[in-house]
Amino acid sequence: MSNKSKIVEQSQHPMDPDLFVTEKLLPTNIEEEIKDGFFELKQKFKDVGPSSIYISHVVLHEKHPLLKKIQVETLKQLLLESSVIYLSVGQTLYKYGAQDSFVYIILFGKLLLQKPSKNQDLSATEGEDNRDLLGS
Amino acid sequence: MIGRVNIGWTLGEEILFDRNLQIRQEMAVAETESCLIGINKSKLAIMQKGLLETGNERDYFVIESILKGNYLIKDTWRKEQAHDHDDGL
Repeated sequence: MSNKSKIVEQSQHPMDPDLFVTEKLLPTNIEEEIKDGFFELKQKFKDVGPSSIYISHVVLHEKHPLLKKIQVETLKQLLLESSVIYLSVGQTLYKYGAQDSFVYIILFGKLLLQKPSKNQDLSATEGEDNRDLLGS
Repeated sequence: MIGRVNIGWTLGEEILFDRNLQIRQEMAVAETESCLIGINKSKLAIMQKGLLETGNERDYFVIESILKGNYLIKDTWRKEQAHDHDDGL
C-alpha cells in the first residue's frame, strides 16, 4: 500500500457520471519528491522566532497524483481556500462522532480509518483540537 | 479497521454525498507523519460553481469524479466492515 495510490478517472464523456477506478503504482520516491516542494521561511538575521511553511504549487502540480489532473490556476485557488494540516504519527484528524465541514486531500503520509471498538470512548470531539495548522 | 489511505486519496468527502454521514462515522489517525489540505465544503461548492461559470468544466468534473469515486470505494469498505462485524469477524 505504501507506494500505491488509486486514481479515479472519468469515462470518455465528461458529463457521464459513470466512474471507473484503477489502482496505479506510483514512483517509490513520490512522497519525497512532494516534500521537496515544502519550504520553511524564517526571518533573516534572527535565529529564533516564528517561521512559515511555503508549499510550492509547481511541485504539487508536477508530482501529486490528484492535483496534477487540474489546471495550475485551479490548484492555486484550491490552496488559497484550504488550510494546511500537519499530523505527527498517532495524531487524530477527526474522531468518531465529530461534526466538521471539511474535505481533505492527502499531500503525503498515511492515515488509518477506524471504527472505535466498544471499549473506546465514543464521545464526540472536534477534530481540529488535535491538528497542527501550518497556515492557509 | 475500515481502510488505510495515503497520497492520492481524499478524506471526509462523504459529507458531500450522504446526508446520513454528516457526523463522522469513523476516526482518522495518522499512521505516519502526514500533511493534508482541508477545504470547507461550502468553499469547495463555491469554487466548483465558479469553475462551471468560467467554462472550466474539465476541472469541475475531475474534482467531482475524484471525490465521488473515493466516496463510493469507502462506501464499499464501510459495508464490508459492517458485514464482517455482523458475522463476528
